[in-house]
Amino acid sequence: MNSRVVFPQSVYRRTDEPLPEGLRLKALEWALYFAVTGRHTAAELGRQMRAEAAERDEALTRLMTLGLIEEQELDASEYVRALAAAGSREERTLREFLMAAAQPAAAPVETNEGSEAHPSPRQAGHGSATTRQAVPALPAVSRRPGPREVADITLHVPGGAHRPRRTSPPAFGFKPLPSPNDDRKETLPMSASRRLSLRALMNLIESQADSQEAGQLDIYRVFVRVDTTLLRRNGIVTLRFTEDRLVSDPELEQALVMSLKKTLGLNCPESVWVDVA
Amino acid sequence: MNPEQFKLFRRITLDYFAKLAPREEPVMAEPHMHFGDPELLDYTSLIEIDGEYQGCIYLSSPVSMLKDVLMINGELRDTPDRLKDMCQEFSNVLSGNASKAFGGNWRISVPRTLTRPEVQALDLPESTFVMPINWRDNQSLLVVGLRAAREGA
Repeated sequence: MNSRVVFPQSVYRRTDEPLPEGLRLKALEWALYFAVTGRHTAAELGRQMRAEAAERDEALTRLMTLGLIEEQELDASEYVRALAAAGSREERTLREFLMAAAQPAAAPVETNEGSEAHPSPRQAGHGSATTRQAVPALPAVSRRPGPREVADITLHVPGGAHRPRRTSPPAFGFKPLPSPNDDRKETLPMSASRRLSLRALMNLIESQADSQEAGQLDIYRVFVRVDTTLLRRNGIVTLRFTEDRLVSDPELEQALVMSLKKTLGLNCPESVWVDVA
Repeated sequence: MNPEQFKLFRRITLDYFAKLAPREEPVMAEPHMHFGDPELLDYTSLIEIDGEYQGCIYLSSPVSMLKDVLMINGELRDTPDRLKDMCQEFSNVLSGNASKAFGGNWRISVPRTLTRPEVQALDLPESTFVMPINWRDNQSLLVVGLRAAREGA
């Protein structure tokens, strides 16, 4: 396999190479550089960045060419999980889910990655829960029920708690891959509902310092490198060191992550991101 | 600006207020960061600093605080000129404290005494570290404003 080919289910991680002096990248490339941790697929990262598949692949390819990231090798079960995670994450009703699971071989697979889906015998055979299936219309179940009708049975397909009773092997629900260098049990799926917690970020910086004053000074030095326009755009005009704000602006997230790295040489750990309902 | 220098500067600035009225200790309130237009009160004592970073340090005070200090010094006239003179005294203290705390690594400008519009006309750093000082029912703001010197922040 050509190492420069980017599959939606490919998982990347940063190399140990230090950033070259004067390195200039596009915003999407920086965003992807800081986002790859060996836990999420290219497709997931692309969705998070709201990038088109072609843009995403081009950016990842450039990062690989520059030696900044590398593809992570996966074992069979990790690969299948990655394949499932690379697919659609849209919500489905229980009926739709059951229909998709019951008809895996009856219809062609159509992932939301379109033609770039990497065909796999297991994918076709198992009808991954995160893969959209073209299902023949059935009179009783083809209509998508209205919101009230599905209120109690709507599933978020990846990682959904409900499992249909079936005779074929179960679909692989979404589960982020374990980080190669991280033995924590927590899993933080990347999704649009993730936010950077400024309190967690500030706590991290303070924990590295010798004293509270030193920590506050370090926090300030990190923020000095961040464009105040970005902060104000996100409603951050005044920030106490004990205060929390959840940042959802990718540009501000990226600026903070980069400044943390540049100012203090720290990488932003997963623990500074929180999931919001 | 290392943490020890920073702590020393903060302490000797608080000491100045403590000496003015020994029975009324100044209290440093919770610090915060501020982004955008600087937080300013009526009169500001300002020095510019240049070293690892470029920036400024200033003490911004309300008229009521300056009147109190004038009164402690036996000066009952609180005309704008007198208030500005008092602010100049603060500026000299600030400059002396900064020289003592940051002397080795930093170049420190001549202190300036400015009214609010005069400060607003300056191009000050937009990210500031603000330490409110509460003293005798007044609040002054001790502010450090830095911008990364060599990389344009």
